[in-house]
Amino acid sequence: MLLSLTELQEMIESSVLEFLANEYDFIKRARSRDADDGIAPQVWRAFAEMGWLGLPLPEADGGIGGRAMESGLLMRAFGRHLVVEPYLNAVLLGTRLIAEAGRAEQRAEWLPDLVDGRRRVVLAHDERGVADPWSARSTRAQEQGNGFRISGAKAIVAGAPGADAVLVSARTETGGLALFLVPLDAPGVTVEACRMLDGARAADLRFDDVQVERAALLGEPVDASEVLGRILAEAIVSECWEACGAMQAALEQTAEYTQQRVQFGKSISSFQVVQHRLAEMAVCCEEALAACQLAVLSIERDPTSAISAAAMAKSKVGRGARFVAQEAVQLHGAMGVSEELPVASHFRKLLAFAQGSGGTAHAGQRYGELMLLSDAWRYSRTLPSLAHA
Amino acid sequence: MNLELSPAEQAFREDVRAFLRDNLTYELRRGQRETSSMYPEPETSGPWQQALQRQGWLVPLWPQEWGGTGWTAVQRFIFESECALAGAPLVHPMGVRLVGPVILRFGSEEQKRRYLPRIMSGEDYWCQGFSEPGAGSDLASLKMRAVADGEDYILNGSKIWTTHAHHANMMFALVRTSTEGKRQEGISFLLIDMNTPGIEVRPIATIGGDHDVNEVFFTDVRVPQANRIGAENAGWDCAKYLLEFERGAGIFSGRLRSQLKRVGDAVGELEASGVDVRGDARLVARFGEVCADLDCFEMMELRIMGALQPGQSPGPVSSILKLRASRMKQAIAELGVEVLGGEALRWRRESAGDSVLPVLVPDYLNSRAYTIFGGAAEVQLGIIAKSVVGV
Repeated sequence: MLLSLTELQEMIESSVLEFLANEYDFIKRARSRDADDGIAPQVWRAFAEMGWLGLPLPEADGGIGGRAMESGLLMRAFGRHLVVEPYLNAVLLGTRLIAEAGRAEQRAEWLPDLVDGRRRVVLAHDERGVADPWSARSTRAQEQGNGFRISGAKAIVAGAPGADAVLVSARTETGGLALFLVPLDAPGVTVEACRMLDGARAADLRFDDVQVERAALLGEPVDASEVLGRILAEAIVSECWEACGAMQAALEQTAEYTQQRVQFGKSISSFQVVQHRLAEMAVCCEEALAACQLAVLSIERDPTSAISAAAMAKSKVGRGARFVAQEAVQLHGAMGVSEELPVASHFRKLLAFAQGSGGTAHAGQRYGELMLLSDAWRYSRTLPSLAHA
Repeated sequence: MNLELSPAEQAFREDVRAFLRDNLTYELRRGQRETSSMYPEPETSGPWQQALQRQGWLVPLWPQEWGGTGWTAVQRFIFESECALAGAPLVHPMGVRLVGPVILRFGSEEQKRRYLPRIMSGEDYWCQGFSEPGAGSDLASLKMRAVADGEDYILNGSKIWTTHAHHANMMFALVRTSTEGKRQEGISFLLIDMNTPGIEVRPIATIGGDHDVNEVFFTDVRVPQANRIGAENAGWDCAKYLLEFERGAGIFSGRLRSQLKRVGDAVGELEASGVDVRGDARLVARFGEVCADLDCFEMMELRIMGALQPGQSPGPVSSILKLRASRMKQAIAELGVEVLGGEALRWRRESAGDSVLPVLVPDYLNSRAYTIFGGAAEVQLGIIAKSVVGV
C-alpha cells in the first residue's frame, strides 16, 4: 500500500500550480474568459509545451502516460485557479477518446495535432432533458449509402467555439451508441455559441441530416458505449478533482478574509460561530479530497468500476461543493456577492460543477441503485475485495 | 498512491481471517450485532478479549515487551477492519486502550507489574471517572476532592456518565488535590477499587432504553496514595496523553460499515416480508449518499491513520475523524430508522431470532450521544478551526 503521491505525481502537480500562479492569476484569467473561444492562445500553447495536452495519452502517442491520479492532480490545480480553457472536454474526453477508440489512421491523422495544440476536438454528448450521462441519446445516425446521416441536437458543448471537429454520440439503427468525428463546418451543422456559468465558452449544436462518410465513425463499427461510458466516468472524477481545488481555494480565501475583516472591534474570525462554519468547510474539503482519491484508486485497480466510482465521488463532492460555496459567500458578507473578489467566481464554478454531468442528486440516486443491486456496501472500499466468510 | 496489499500485508490479512474463522463464534457475533449501546456487555466482550489475548493480539499499540504486536499502521487498519466486518465484539476499551497506555507512560514499575497483566487478562474491568455534573466539555473545572490523610486520600464528590461502572471493579479518575493556582495544576490521576466502602453506583436511564451509564457517588472514600499515577497535581498530563493516545488508536470505518450492514440486512428482511423498500426512490438515494459518505470516510481514515509511524499521533486532524465518525454513526442509524418507516413505532427490545430490526431504533436513539461524549462536536469544530484552518 502506498498512501502518498509518487515523485512523478508530485512533479506534475507542482509544475501546474507554479505555471498557474505565475500566468493565471485572477487578473490574467480575464484574457481567457473574454476570448470568443474561451482560450488565451499563449495559455493553450503553454499547455502544449508542458505536455499537458497529451497528459492522458501513452508515451507512444506523444503523451505523458498519466492515469486517473495524474489527471486529477492537474484538474485540482485548474480548479484552484478557475481555468476556463476547455481542457476537460478537449483533452480528457476528445483527445482521449480518439486515442483509445480511434482506428490507426484516425489516431495518426489527429493525435499529433491535438497534442501539439494545433487542432482541437471536443465531445458533443449532452442533450437537453437527458440527465444521466450513461443513458441513451436521442441523436440518431442512419446508414445511408457508404456513410451515415446524423440528426439531433447537443446542448452546451463546452469548447465547441473554435474547435476543428466534434465527436458526436449518436444512436445507430441497431440500438447501439456510436461516435462520429464531424467537422463543425460540415453542411447541416448549426453552431450557436453561448457563455457558460463558469466563464467558459460553449455552443448548442444542431445536426440536420448531416452526411458523413463511413470513415467518420470513430473506431470499428461496434458499440462505443463501453469505452465512452468509462471515459465519461473518468472525466466526471476529474471534474470532482477540479471542484476539490476550487473548494479548497474558496476555504482559504474565506479564512483569510474573516481574519482581516473587523466588525464590533475585532476580526470576525474570532467569533465562534464563524470559526465553526470555517471548520465545517474544512471538513468538507478533506472529505472531498478523500472522495477523489478513492475514486481514482478504485478506477486504477478496476477500470470497470469507473461508473460506480464516478457516482460516489460526484454525490460526495457535489454536496460538499454546494455547502462550501454557500458558506464562502456568506462569510464574505456583501463582498461575497460582488465581482471584486474571486469568491463569486468560485461560487459559480462550484455551482456549474454541481449542476453538470447529470447533477449531484442524480449521482447519489444512481449510487444507491448500484449499491442495492449488489452487495458491495457490505465490503471495505479500500482493501481489495474478497468475499467475507 | 495505491491500495494494493504487499505479499506480507496479504499474508497478514489471511492470518487475521483464519483467526476469526477459528475463534469468532456465532454467539459472539450475535452478541455484538444485538448491541445497540456503545459497548457490548462483558459476557460478549470478555470471551473475545481472552481469545485475542491468547493470540497475542489484544494490545497492538503497547510496547512489545508488554505484549504489543509491533504492527505497522496499515496492518492495524487491516486487523481492525477485518474484525469489525466479521462482526467481532468491540473489546471494552477502558483498560487496554485508555488506562493501560497511561500506566505504561506514567506509572511506576510496581504499578505496571501490578495492573498491566490484570488489564490484559480481563481480571480487572475498568471504568472512567472523568466527567462530573459540573464538568463536561470544560473538564478542568472538575471538583471531586481528594484530601491527603496519612498514606491515603479521602475522596468526596461524584462522577457522572460513567459507562459500565456497574460492571467495573476498578475506576481511573481525575480528582482535585489542590485548589491553588491554575485549575489544570490541581488535578491528580487516581486508580480506585470500586469495592471500597463509601462508593455508590446509581444507574442513569438513557434515551435508548439501555443501562450503559451511571452516576457514582463518593463519601469519605479512602484510597491509598500509592494508587496515584504520576506526581500529585500532575494528573492533567495523564489525561491529555490518554486523549491523545485514544485519538491515535481509533479505527472507526470497519465498525461503521458493520453498522451499515445491519441496515442493509434490514432492507433484505423487510423486503422478504413483503415491504417494497427499493421502490422508494428517495430512500434509495439516501442509501447511496450514506454509502458514499462512508466510503469517503474510510478512505480519509486510511490515508491519515495508515500513514502514521509507530508511536506517532495524527495530531489535530484526528478531530476531523472524530467529528465525521460520530456523525456517520448517526447518519447510518438514521437511515436504519428511515428504512423501518412506520415499523419504528413498535418498541421492541427483545431479540427475535436473527432479526436485525429490534436494534435499529435504540441504535438511532443512542447514536445521538456520539456527538456529545469524548469531546462534543462543538469542541472538535473549535479545534479544527484553530489547528486546521488556522484562525
